[in-house]
Amino acid sequence: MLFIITGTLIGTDIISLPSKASENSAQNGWISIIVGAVLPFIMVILIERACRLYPDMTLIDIVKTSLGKVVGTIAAVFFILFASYITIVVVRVFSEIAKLYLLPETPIPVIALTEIIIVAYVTIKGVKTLARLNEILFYLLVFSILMILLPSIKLFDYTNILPVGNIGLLPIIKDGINTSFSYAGVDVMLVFYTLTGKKDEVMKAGIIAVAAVMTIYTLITAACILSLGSEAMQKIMFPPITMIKGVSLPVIERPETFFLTFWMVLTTKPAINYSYCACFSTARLLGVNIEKNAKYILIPYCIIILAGASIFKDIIQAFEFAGIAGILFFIVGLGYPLLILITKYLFKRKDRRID
Amino acid sequence: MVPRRKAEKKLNTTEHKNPDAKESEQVKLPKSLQDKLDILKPYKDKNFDMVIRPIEIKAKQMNRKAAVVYIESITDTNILHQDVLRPLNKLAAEDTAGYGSIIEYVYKNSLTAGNIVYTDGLSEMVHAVFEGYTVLMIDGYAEILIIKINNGHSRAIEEPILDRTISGPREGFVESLAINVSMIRHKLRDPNLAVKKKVLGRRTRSNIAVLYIEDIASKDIVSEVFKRLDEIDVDGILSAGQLAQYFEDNPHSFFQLYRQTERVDIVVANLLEGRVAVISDQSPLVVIYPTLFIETLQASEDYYQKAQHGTFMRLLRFLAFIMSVSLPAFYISLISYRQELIPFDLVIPLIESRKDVPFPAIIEVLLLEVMVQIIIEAGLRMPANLGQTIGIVAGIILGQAIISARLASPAAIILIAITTISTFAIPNICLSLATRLIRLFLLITSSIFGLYGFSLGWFLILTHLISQESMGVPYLSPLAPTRYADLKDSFFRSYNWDFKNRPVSIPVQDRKRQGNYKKEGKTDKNR
Repeated sequence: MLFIITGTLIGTDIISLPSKASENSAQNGWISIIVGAVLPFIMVILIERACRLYPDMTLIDIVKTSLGKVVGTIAAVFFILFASYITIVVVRVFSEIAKLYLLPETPIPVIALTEIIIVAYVTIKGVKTLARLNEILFYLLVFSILMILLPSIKLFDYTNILPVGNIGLLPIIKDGINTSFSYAGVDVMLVFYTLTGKKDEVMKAGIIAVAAVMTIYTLITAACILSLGSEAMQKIMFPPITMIKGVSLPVIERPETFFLTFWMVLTTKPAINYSYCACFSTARLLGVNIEKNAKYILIPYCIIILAGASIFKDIIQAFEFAGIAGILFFIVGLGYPLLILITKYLFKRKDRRID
Repeated sequence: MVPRRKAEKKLNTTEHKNPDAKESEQVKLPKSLQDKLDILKPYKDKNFDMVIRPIEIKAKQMNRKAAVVYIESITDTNILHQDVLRPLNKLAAEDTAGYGSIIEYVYKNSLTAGNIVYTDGLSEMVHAVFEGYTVLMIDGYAEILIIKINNGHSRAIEEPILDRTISGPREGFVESLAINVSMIRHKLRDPNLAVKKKVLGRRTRSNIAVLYIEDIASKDIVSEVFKRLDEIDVDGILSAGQLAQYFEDNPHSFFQLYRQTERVDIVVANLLEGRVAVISDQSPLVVIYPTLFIETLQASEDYYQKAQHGTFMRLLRFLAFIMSVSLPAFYISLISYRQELIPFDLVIPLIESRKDVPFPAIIEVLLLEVMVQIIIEAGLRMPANLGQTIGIVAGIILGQAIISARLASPAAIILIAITTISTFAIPNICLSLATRLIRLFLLITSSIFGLYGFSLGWFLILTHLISQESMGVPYLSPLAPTRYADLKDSFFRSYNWDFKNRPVSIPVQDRKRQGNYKKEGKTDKNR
């Protein structure tokens, strides 16, 4: 569970996050990331409370029972669309980065198709594979973070991060809200809660996961601020890559390409997790067995994702849509558990009155 | 005459299709000796080495006609004469009073052979004869005696070819089930060791033994193994490798989801960890279930040498695995797509050496790769005395000629040579076969998409490995799902006193492996 959440949280966002974080708060960007983690923490607690009420039901069944059949179905469809939307955005952003740094000549739909093949392969293998994959990729992720951070220590200039907190609280909080979009992924808990065996540990896992992601984000942002300085960072699209470009290692020329080669696979995780959520929920909504009918759901799903990922004009538009995904994430992550909790509370009162 | 006709009828129903144990369980043998011999007559006509020896049993109280039936080529005739025929001849002088029947007397008193079974089933009799047992039948009794004195030829115990070791025991399994089981019993004298027999193959009727330690092995795994064995319905099982393919978890995978070994010590060590071993008669390979991916990179030697050396060797083997899978693909993705990633001083000699080669890099590497694979295969089939010739022709003459003919660059030859050598550093034969296939897969993905294809290919391989299971145990187990307790015996080999418990990855009944006699490896001075 821990690994699924961390896996979903850390995605393509990591390379654009530092510039987002220091948009207003300049050298205090790393503080705004910590501030931004507050909302995801609240979300974890809300989701856990909401799911605990219906421990053996999937999200689709929960919304159907708590919101009624019509509204529940609409909510379920909305969730599926949301998960698909995020998958589309992630696939697109991934393809753009791959095109930019690794495959300048290859058209976007082809790159997107290769990623969708990965996504489909994992989804068809089921939830066990998904969980194990997230687990092993987490270690690779930590390893790769160290790979970026350690060599870039040479570039650090400690005056870049000083003075701390000189611009006051407001810009930090403003950026904090912006960065909290990057924690999109907590909401997969809604789906994976029923699929985990140890339900008591979900809360712990969720909080640790958010904390781990927060640490990683903060470290990366701090490293970027330290090495590049905040003014430069506001102008660069992908500060970490720029930072690695500056690193010179023996034998390896152009370390950023090696880093990206390694990194590419890690960034597919959110797409995989969200697409599993979408497929699982669709199967549930249609009332079919996911294990047996994965193919029939996946093939049309993949075509939709591929078409969706090819719609955007360019990377800027893709990032704009990613921003919308962040807002949607708030609606889903806060809205669903709140709705479930409130309806439960109301029904309880009704029941009491009847008694 | 009535029983005789009945017997013939029964015979006709059972003769043409191979007698199946369950179907003909009810068919009982006739009482008359002649009827019984008539049943065997068609078999006698077909098999020149089948011997029907009529004898007469003369005891004081009773006097009966009898016959001994056996197949000469697979019976131990010395024992037959000494322990069966001679005692029967001497019977005349003995007093059989007090016994219900002469057959009971013979069974209990006169025969000196050890393993004798009492039966009256028709199919059992036929099978017994063809399994090399001697059948004693006496006129007037439906019961017969199956005297188990068969004699199989078998080669001497030798050092195994597959899993070689420097510091471990040198005995390997042979082609006899009885000898193989005895070798395991010599090493493992636990009374809880269960050795269950099964007969598989409608026509070969091969004996299969399933071994496990009753109070360690997980009951789920044991019953799963039996369930899968029961489902097998084929005409012949010739080798454990063939058997294992009938009941492996995912036949479509490149990877072997069971372990095959020729070494007795590996089987015993695995039994001690709660696994199940399946031995097939006529096969020197033993199949072990469940197995983990990490074990394909381990050798039994790691445990016989010091922990530090074991760890170092394991890390080397892991490196060899990674290299043997990805080196050519990595070369292709760099040289055809991203020359700028290679350090400047290295890229010039590389390009220089490739200057005159007429093929693109991918064709060059594929050409060499296929050639090396053919050489390996040829070396395997060659008579041992000619093996050196292959080495000289392929290695020296061909290699030199390819460079002079400018069909390949020296860099590519070095690369393929390193890759091939790395392949043979992998202790598991199946994994080293699998690496050849994966290598081709990675070569193709990276020749299409460059470095991106390289990481894409690895990701798919990783996902595939993660999704596999061996008897319900995740194949990539100590790594994903991560079992921290088992990591001490993964890429590393920890000290012996660290293995207090059995591996967590494999479900067992009894976790405890060692007592707490040593804490830090040093002997307690205060003791």
